[in-house]
Amino acid sequence: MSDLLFVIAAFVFFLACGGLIVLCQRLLED
Amino acid sequence: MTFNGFLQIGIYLIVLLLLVKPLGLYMARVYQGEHTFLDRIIRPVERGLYRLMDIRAEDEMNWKTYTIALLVFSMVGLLFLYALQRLQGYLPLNPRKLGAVDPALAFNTAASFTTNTNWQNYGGETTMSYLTQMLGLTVKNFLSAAAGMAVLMAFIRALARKQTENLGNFWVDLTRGTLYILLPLSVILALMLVSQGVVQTLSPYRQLTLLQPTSYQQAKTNADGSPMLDTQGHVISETVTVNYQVLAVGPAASQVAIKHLGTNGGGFFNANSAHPFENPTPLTDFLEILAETVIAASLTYTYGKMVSDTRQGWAVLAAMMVLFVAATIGTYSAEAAGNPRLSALGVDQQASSLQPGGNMEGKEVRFGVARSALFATATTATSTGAVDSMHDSYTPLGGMIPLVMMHLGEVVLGGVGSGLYGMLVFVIVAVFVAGLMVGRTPEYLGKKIETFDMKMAALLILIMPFFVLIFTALALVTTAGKAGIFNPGPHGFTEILYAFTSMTNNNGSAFAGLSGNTLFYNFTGAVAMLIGRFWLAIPTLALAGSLVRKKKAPEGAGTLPTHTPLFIAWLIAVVIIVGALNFLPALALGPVVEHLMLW
Repeated sequence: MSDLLFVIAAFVFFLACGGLIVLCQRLLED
Repeated sequence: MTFNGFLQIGIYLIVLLLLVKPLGLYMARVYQGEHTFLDRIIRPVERGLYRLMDIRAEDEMNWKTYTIALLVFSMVGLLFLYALQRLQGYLPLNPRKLGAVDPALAFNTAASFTTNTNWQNYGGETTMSYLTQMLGLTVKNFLSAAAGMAVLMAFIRALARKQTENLGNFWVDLTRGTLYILLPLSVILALMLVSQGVVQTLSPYRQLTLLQPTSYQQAKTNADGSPMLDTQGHVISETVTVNYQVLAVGPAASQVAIKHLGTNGGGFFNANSAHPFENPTPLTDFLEILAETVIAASLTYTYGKMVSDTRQGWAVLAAMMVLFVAATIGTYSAEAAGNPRLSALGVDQQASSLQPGGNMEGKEVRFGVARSALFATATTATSTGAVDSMHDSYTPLGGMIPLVMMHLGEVVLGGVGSGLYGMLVFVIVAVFVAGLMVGRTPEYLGKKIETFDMKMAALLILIMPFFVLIFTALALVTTAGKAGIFNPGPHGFTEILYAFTSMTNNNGSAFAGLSGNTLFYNFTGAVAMLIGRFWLAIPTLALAGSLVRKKKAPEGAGTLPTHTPLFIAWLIAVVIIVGALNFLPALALGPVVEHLMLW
């Protein structure tokens, strides 16, 4: 169970990184 | 302070500066795909790897593709290292039959080594099997370092090129950095270390019977690893008696080499470079300090070469070295002054032929005060994080200076790759502010600095201090956070501040008094390390994406020169002012108060 939680935590973090990429791209296009 | 101490520091600086141009030139050739003397051996391996990965070396990437490649690579690496630690009990090369690493610790370690931090909430010889150390940690040492250098290369190309979207190929940069730079240097350094006595073996640990049993005091710990406290908040100790000693050995030299060269810092043994099997002689100490600074310093020359103006690289290096030398002298001075409480008791702390003098608590006699101060400064300036002395035992000011090196953003040399791109962001900020002051459009290397660029620069400067202070505050207001403190009062505050500063800046060194192997610190630490690495890399690459598409304006009468002593001084001022604004209040609560209480 702990393993699953930490794996999910890692995925969530890298998804957040994806969100940051999208934010930076939007700012670049503005 | 002694003449001998200054001589040791001086010799190190001379050797470092002599290596900058040849190594910098070689790295420029590597990253530009030019011919090198290692081509005959390495080029076939390189091409084989591209075929295996189905990569065409000539295909280039825009900033988004480059960033996604970095993130996917890092995520896969993190999950692999996590799995390796959790499964090590079932895997070979585990002579001590060490079981699975605890999930929270495994997560923290995986995040740590993926982000080039190498913060270790564990002792290597009692937690990690040989296979985990070699296949997981050592490999990660290479790859995380190469990834940082790759991001730097993308940023340099953004300044060197114009009116394009292409920043290079992440996989090519990663491969070339590993094969042509890190691996050859690591082989050479590992052999030199082995010649001096650093262990390199797959044999099991040796158990030796002591001639007479020995007793020592150690702190009692709770089930969660935090120290047990009495009603007055003091640590409870217990007496332990042993009649045998287990000598931990292992394939250390191969890990120690890349630990320093890649500004990683994760030791094979718990005592890191204070351990005689990792750092047995003054010569290995000298080599380790040199190794952790040489690539970062040489990359400034690489940068100058790639933007076709080596003066820019020298200017950045000059700014870095001014701060580095000042910090080294400051740390040495503070440690050489010793502990005033001991002087009041009549203890002789003067340096002489019989003793190193000064504050030798937590330091190794074979290194002394000067070398330890140099190592402490180098390791925190470069984001290596290895230690040959215990920072928790430094005097308040002596411990504050390494902390400040990290607070400046790890831009005084900094990590391989990350240090220079961090400093170049400060250059952009310095150019922008100077432009405002003189009423001219700010531009750097012919590229106009515009709104988006400053937004990214602001993000890059603020993300680190924001999360350092938030996490430190969180630890101080929660029971779980405060439970890790070993020393009460301002020193305990500094332990926590240092921990999150180190993790968020991907340094990895510690005030070792803090009990970090708890769920709280393992999880918050992992998040801090990941944020400090990738939430800085992404805006850096976005900034690169903006710069690379701009055209280059020719230099004119109004262009601010960025290679002059005036600009170097201005750049140093900007770095210090930003760091001071962010962290002076926190420093005042920790090391400054402690210093005033001591003196």
